[in-house]
Amino acid sequence: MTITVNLNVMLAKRKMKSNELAQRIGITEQNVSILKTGKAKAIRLTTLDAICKELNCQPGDILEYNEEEQ
Amino acid sequence: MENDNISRIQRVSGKFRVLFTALIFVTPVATLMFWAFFNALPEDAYHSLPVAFDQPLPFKKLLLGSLVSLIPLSVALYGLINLKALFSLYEKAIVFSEQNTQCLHRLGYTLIAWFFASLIYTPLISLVLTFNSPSVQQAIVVRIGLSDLSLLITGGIVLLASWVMQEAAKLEKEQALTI
Repeated sequence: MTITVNLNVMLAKRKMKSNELAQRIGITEQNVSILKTGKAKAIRLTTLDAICKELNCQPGDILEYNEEEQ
Repeated sequence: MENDNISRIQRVSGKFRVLFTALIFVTPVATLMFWAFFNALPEDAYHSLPVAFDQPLPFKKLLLGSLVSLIPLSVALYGLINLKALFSLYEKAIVFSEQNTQCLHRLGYTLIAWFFASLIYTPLISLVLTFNSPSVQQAIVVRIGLSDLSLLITGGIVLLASWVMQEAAKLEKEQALTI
């Protein structure tokens, strides 16, 4: 997967823990972990919306595209 | 409403799991008892056998008959074990996993195998029952009935269903990793 979700950086900036974010946006801690570890295959716009709202950031702040080396 | 359906699946599957678990033990015991008390059974009990035979059957024939019965019995047991496994998964609300697919796959092949097991069993049991009989003509019966063909068709349908389930399992995996 070439798109990664960089939650750790934004969580550190906002001084928020993963479980707190999970509770605030209404998903499980396991799902937050799936996002953080790059195992997610897709993210719903509603989830992305909720994350940006709670972390007060833009989607581009947490989504990063890395071109895979051939 | 979604949870109601899952609860219903779990509830009914639990009952089927218990049933098939019981059958896993009852079926071989019943087969053993059938041959152990063969000569004491009423006439109606012999309807499933393909030929007429001399009664009472000697011990050697009873032993051979029970060994031949292992052919359909082993297929039946394999099917029952897979049914138990499948309904155990449903009982745990695991509906579209790879394990479910494999159970259905094996069940499809079991039904097809049952057809061939019957094809082998019928001539063998007829030979065992009539071999060296003083008053009954030796016979080897080969029988393919509508019920046997239905098994083959049903097995094919279950196999197809397992392939469809494989696609469902892929979707489920995709869904699980969509946050």
